[in-house]
Amino acid sequence: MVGHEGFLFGACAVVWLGIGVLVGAWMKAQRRLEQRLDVLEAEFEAEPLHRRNV
Amino acid sequence: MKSVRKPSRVRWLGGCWIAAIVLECIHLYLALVWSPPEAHMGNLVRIMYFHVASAWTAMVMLAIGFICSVLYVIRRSVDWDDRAVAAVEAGLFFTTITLITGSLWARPVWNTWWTWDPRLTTTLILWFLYAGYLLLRGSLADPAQRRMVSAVWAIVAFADVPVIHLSVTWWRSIHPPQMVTASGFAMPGSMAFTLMFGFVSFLLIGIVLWGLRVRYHRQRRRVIRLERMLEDGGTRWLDANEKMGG
Repeated sequence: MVGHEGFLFGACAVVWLGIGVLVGAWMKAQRRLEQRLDVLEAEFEAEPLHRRNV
Repeated sequence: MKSVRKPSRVRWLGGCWIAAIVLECIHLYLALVWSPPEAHMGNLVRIMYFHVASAWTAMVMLAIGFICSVLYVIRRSVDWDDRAVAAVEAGLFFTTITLITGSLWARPVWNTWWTWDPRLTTTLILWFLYAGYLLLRGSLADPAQRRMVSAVWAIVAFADVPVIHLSVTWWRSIHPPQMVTASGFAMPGSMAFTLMFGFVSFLLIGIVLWGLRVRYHRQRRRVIRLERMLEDGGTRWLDANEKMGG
């Protein structure tokens, strides 16, 4: 059975690439959401008080 | 004046992330260099340190999802729903890693990429159950209904976790039996240490991923709330939304 190290490195690659891709995608989604949030908060602050005073 | 409540920052995430990377580097050294090869499988046994650690982490994350779903059903707080869906997302990721690394291990050892062994089959069912959970969430438009239906789904789906755990004792299986029993580890001390180290390292990564997604779901609710407030610009929507919780 010795000599199948390719499978071992394949498993390591799956783990690290998987974590890397997932974190990258989630961080990107997070950044996009925060940018949208900043825009919306600025719009909300610019709203006349009588409209947001609920 | 009422304002939209700012979601609390998850401050501990950065520290946990650094700790997880350091631990995982040490884990890589332990798994690939320090721990001894196995008599029959040789170096292939090293896949265990990733496969088993990710399987255990998946179970812990899905258990967190189960607990948060139960707490949502009891308390009806949207925070518990955010925590539940984030835990399920992290749990599903680690279940995927478990299935792929298991398949990579099975090919040279069992001479097949996949077999309908009870443990493999019940793990695949688990994957579909939680992938279904996420699909279900995406298909329900009403927030209150989405939260309640998915909480119940997560509670029911978790029943598969003990079945996976006991599958190797209930049915005839080619999968190795439980590695940790009441009498201790069924392996030498250095291998057991590496395995437990890997589990702690993966668990920390899981907690970081969970925290990342909890923050995302909180902020997403805030974005939706602000969008609706700006669209309606008045009391009518906010009052209704406050009752629904976002």
